[in-house]
Parts: sequence; structure tokens; C-alpha cells
Amino acid sequence: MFDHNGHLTDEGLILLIDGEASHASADEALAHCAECLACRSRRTQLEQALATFADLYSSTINPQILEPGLERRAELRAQLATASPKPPAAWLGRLAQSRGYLFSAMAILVFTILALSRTNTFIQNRLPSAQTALRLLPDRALTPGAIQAVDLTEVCLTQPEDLDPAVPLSVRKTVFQEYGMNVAKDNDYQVDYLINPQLGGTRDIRNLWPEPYGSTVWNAHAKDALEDRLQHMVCNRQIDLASAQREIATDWITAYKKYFHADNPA
Amino acid sequence: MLRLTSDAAPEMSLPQFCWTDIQRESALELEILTLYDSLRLPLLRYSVSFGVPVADGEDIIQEAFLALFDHLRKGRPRNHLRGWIFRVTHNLALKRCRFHRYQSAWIVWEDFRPEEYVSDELNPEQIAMERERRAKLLAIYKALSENDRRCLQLRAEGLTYREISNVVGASLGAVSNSLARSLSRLALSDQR
Repeated sequence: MFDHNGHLTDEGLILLIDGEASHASADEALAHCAECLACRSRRTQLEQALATFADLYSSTINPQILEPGLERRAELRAQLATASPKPPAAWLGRLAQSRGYLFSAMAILVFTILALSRTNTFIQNRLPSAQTALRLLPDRALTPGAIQAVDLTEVCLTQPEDLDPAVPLSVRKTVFQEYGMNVAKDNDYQVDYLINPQLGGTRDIRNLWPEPYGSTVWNAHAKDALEDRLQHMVCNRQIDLASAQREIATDWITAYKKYFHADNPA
Repeated sequence: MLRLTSDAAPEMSLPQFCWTDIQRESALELEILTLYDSLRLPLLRYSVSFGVPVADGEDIIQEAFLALFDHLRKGRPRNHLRGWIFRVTHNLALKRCRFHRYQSAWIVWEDFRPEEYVSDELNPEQIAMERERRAKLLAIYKALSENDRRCLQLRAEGLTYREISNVVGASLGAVSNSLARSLSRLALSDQR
């Protein structure tokens, strides 16, 4: 670590700065630095050079390119999900390896078939309603809603017939991927704003989700009606903007029932 | 895709070992995504410094994280994961550079404007000096050998010498020498 003049070499100093020197060497170097002004000064110079370079290097990527990060993250998430083994297959595979488990599985299967056959309405009613529930409300983890600061005047200048800005195909694709849905579903679903732009919602992917068109009464048309109603109420000071945003983002169906005083859309 | 939550477990009546498998896969996915969130920018910075366009850099990172997912699923060692993911990114970036024959290793650096990153709190004279200082450092950086540049970049990202040596495929001593050489030059330029 020391040169022929008895001073610390640059390599020795850098090892010391980076905490890469052995304990014994570090102690020796620190003791030397405490006594030697030249080495202390050189150490400072090296530290400054390193800090400036790190600063320069960290600014080489413009933070603006971080914007599509969410899309890339969603892409990775979808790929990870695809790469994972399908749970039912793994389950069956393991069952097949074990007679005991196979017997148990068969017993469960027979019991389930008997139970289901006693409840004819189970498949027609319960299962579809469960599936529909998955689609009627967005997954809060994926679509919590996203807003930008808007002025009340701005909100009220917007006419109810103003359409939501179109969502680009690439973003729609990402939303479908996030929800683990096939892009072919594009015809059956509208990628909709959870908090509509007229109420300050943004085009951030966290504010978008696939909403069914017509397979249920709680469809995009019903939500549009709620959006108009809320905008009207905000502008008439019957409800404040933040509450409107929160209610539509939390559970728009409950909000619809509350503000239309109806259990189902008209 | 069926989203499995902890609430779904009793309803599905899956055997315990199966549910454990699913939980393990979900935990692994979450771990990968968390790592992605923290390392995406450093890895992107590193991969574009090879000369690959940003979009290609993003692809490289996706590929690297999928490889990491596979690596961990197979129960392979999980120590030094940061060094591991940098090494895979390094190799993929090199491969892509060779395939597409990307020429310059500092396209992004050429676009860089040091003056954009100087604090507004300095007076005009200080700003001018700071710009000059940074421009000098940049010139020194460009004059370094490719290996020295890589070591310096990885050091700037906070990697340990052991991690750097794994990424660039050099010994610990070589990494230490390289950093000393580069930083001596940078410090010399800073002194003038």
C-alpha cells in the first residue's frame, strides 16, 4: 500500500476509501493518514473525483425515460407469469406420483361432483357471478386510480359529451397483459379510465382497466352515466372533487347506487 | 390468468404442498419485481453505455430478469444477486452489440450535456468552472480503456470489487489496479 517514499499509493488509498482493504492494512493506512498531510489531501482528491464521476454517470440517463417503466414492468410481470408452471398441472403431476394423494384427490373429486349435482343452480348462478365480479371492478393492486391537479373551473368547462382521450393500442395491450387477459378480448372490453379525465383522472396505467362492454348491466355505459352525474354534482357544489374521485375509484358500482338511488342502472 | 391470493387457498381445497408451491412461485415473482424496481435504472444506464439503444437496453434487462427467475427457481445460489444480474446484463449487452454491430460505446455520453446538471444555486462564474471541470472528467473517461470504463461505471453504481470482478471477468487485483489508474487520472484532471 505504500510507495518507496513511505506514502500511501493511489491504489492503497482507493482500497481504503472503498472499504476493500483488510483490517490490518486499513488500520495501518488510517494511522498513516492521521500523520501525513499529503496522503490526507490525496485521499480527499480521489474521493472528490469519484463523487463527481458518480454524479456525472448517474445523470447520463434522462429521468424522462422512466415514464414507460410501468409498461416494461407490466411486461416483465406477464412474462414471469407465463414462465411459471401452471398450478393445476403441477398439482395433478404430483398427485400422480403418490398413490395416497391420488386416492384423496379422487375422493375429493367424487364428493365435489355429488355436491355440485345437488345444486343445479351453482354453475349457472354462482360461477358466472363470481367471474363477472372479477371484471366489474378493477383490481385495486393494479388500478388504484391516478389523478392530476385540476381546477374546478377546468372540470366544469368540460361538457358531458366530451369523450375520454383514446387509449393507445400499446397501452391497451399492457393493461390486458397486467390483467392476464388475451388481447383478443379487446372487442369485448373497453380499456377505461377508473377516474375519468373530466374528474382529473390521468392516462397513467394505474388509472386504466379492462371494463366489459355489454355482458352485464354494470358496463361502460353505466359508468359513463355515473361520471356525468358526479361531474354535475361537483360543479353544483353538492360534492367536492376529492370525494367524487375517491368514490369512483373505490367502488364505482356502490357510488352509482348511492347517487342514482337505484340498485341497478336504468 | 387466475390471480391467487391467500384467501383463495381454502376455497380451492388444494393439498398443502401444492399451495406451498404456488406461494413460493408468487413470492419469487414478487422478489424479482422488487429487484427490477431497484435495479432497472442502474442496469439500463450500464447497458446503454455499451452503445445499445435505450429500447434494446430495456429488452436486455427483461431478458436478464427472466434468466434470474429461472436461476432462482432451479434453486441455484442466491448470494451476490446484484453482481449476478449485472454480469448477465453485461454479457447480453455485449452479445447484442456484436450482433447489431453497434459502433460507439458512448453514444449516450455524447448526448450528455454536463451543463444541464449543474445546480442553479451557483453563481455564473462557479457554473462555468463546474462545467469545465465536468467536461474535463468526461474527456478523461472517454480516453480510458473499455475495461477501465466498465470497472469505473460499476464502482459508481456501488458494486463491490468482488462483484465487479465477476461482471468484467477480471481478478480482484486487476479491478483494484484499474480503479486506481482511472481515479488517479480523474483526480489529476480535477487538480488542474
